[in-house]
Amino acid sequence: MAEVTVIYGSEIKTLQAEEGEILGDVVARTGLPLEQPCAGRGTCGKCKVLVEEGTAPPDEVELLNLTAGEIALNNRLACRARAQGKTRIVLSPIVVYSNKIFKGSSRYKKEPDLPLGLAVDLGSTTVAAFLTCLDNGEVAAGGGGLNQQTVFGSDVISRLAAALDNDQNKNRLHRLALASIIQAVDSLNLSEKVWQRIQQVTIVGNVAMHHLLTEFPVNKLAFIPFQPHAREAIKDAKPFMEGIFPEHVNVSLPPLIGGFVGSDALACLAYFGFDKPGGPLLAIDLGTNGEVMVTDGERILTASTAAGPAFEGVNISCGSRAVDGAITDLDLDDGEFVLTTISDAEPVGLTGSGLLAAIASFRRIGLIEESGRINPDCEVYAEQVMNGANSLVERGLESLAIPASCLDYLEKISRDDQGSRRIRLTPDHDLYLTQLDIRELQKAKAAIRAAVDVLLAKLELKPGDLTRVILTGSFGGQVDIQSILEIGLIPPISPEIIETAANGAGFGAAIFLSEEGFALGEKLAQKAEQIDLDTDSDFQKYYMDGLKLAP
Amino acid sequence: MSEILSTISALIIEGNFADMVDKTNQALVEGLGADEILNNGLMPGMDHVGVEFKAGNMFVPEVLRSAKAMQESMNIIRPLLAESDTETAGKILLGTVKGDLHDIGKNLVGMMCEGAGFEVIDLGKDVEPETFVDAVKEHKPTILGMSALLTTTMRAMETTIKALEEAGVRDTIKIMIGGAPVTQDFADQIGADGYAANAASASELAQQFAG
Repeated sequence: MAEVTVIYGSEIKTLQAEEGEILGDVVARTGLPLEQPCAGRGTCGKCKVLVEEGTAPPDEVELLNLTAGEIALNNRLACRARAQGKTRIVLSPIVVYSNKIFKGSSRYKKEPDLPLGLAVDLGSTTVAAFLTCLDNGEVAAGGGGLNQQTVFGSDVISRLAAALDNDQNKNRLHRLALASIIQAVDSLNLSEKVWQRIQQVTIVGNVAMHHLLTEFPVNKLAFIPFQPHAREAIKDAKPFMEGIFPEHVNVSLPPLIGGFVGSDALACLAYFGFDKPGGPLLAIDLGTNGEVMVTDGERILTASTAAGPAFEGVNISCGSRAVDGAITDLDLDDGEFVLTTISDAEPVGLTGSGLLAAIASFRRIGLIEESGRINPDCEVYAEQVMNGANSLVERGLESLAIPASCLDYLEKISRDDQGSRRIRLTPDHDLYLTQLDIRELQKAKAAIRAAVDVLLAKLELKPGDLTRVILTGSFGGQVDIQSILEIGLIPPISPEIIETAANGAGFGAAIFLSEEGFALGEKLAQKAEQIDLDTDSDFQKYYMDGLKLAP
Repeated sequence: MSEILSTISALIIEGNFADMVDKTNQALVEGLGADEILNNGLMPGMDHVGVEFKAGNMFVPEVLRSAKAMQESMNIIRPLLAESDTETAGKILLGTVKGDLHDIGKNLVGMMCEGAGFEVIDLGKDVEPETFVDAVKEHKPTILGMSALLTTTMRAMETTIKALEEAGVRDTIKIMIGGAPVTQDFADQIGADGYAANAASASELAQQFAG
């Protein structure tokens, strides 16, 4: 008999199995999630699990489906690996491979001797890897995947808490970080020849990601004073890598800035030219954690602000990740909402950008007030319409403060069982934007706006003084500028100087691959100051102001 | 009910703090007692605010304005209540636990509870377990409320409860906890008496405990 322990996040199940039983079959008995798209036939290679203890050596099918890095970490295919004595395995979260593969310069193909590097952006939610020409930092290709640590929670604080709980969790988070990195790298499909040309790997991330990757102590970061255990660059980070990269490759971790502001923000500073700004400059990395960076041309101030996962559609009643049918945009047309969904599929929910577009549109016509409240007068009228009223005058409701612009949309407002107002998004599906969803967006938006306002004020800058504004990150790189200006996520700034950039941190990490680039990073880390918003006396005032949905 | 009391309730709901001093004084001139103003003017107003806040129809800035309106009135009637030895709904001790600096939610709880007629003693943020113990001994509250915003710092709630047990005062109070990462499960696990998801629920829970 074999004893198999299956771990999925905080869920741990132990059960008896036949000696030599297929692990996939054992997992199925636990009820824990395991993706086996080919139903265990050994053809798709998607049922990877991390083996901590037990199981026989990998067979040919596994060797064919696993990369060298995965084998080094003892990743196995659940449909092929067999239980042996005491066996412990860790399941990955259900993984969606990012299909956004970036294609850049193809010069590395024409110049077979050109040395190459890999720049990795270890984000809390997604991990991106970029193949880079080492001579000039030009990015040749990019790929990515999800951060598998999300089984321990989508926010970094939950993961730090898990690491503090026990050393086993801490080690598991470390290995999940490595597994996520190698998965992102493997999505580039690098040939053996290309691997041999890779000399250098640079990994950037926020301070929590950095410390969980390196298994540094996190008690200083998780509690007051909320500071890194160590900020210095790690030029030889190979000992932390558990052999996921070939022997000849050097791995380095650039320095951290302070607080939760890590080497990903540092990479943004380098990529957006904060070392030679030429004028006041603002950059915002919009993701689960928002990083805000401002320079007046001299000083560089940075801050991390907990925007929460609303921008990723999390904690939103009909929120959705970027899957088929997720609503990414919403327009108003003749009494109807016109939805844009991924793959034009039937709508299933709102992504972060869909949420933003919906709220900005409803705000524009007056269905939502500046305070974020769904206009109660509209609801009163909606009830009257249900009862057969034809016009405001007929029902004696002409005194209600209903903007003429939203008259067409009034019947879409109702209340749910809890007495909370909501707006119906489509006539055919039970999809609603609720009052509480709007509140979630307001909190996320206020956290970013207040951070921007605090940093600008510290440098005595007005929004109009800025010469260039950059929005980056998974959400920031594709955000609708008009909408974020309308709801005041950023201060009033001329749209002409606002630009979006999808991969600021990743491209900055590519700069750090060269010796001069790395030195620039170290210089910027010395120069950049981190502002602690938790203890800043003005932050709460700006946050309260920032809750309103207005410029 | 007197018209002035309805006006005072309305001022609370509208968050109109500018007119509150005048209207409170007017109520006193009309011969109403401080306890009547509290019980039939301020409290019904805050009660309504609590319901609307829970449904999301009112939000933090509006609730803070309502609370400010209440404070304006309380500043006038508090000394009168103390003089007349009016029974309060009970005494609540509040604080954000050790290691945590977030206090918007905890402040809202304080205001809602005050609006429900409790006497509220706020220990502030980053409060050491020993400080909670000493304050329980000194003030002898009915209820202790603890808040934490972070998954990491919420563990200090457990340490605080242990410290209260060791000091032998745990059973003299009801303990309620709250904050973004806190759940009913967590409350059960660490031996708290109750959990509230938001400030309005916290005030309801406190009324249950005191009732």
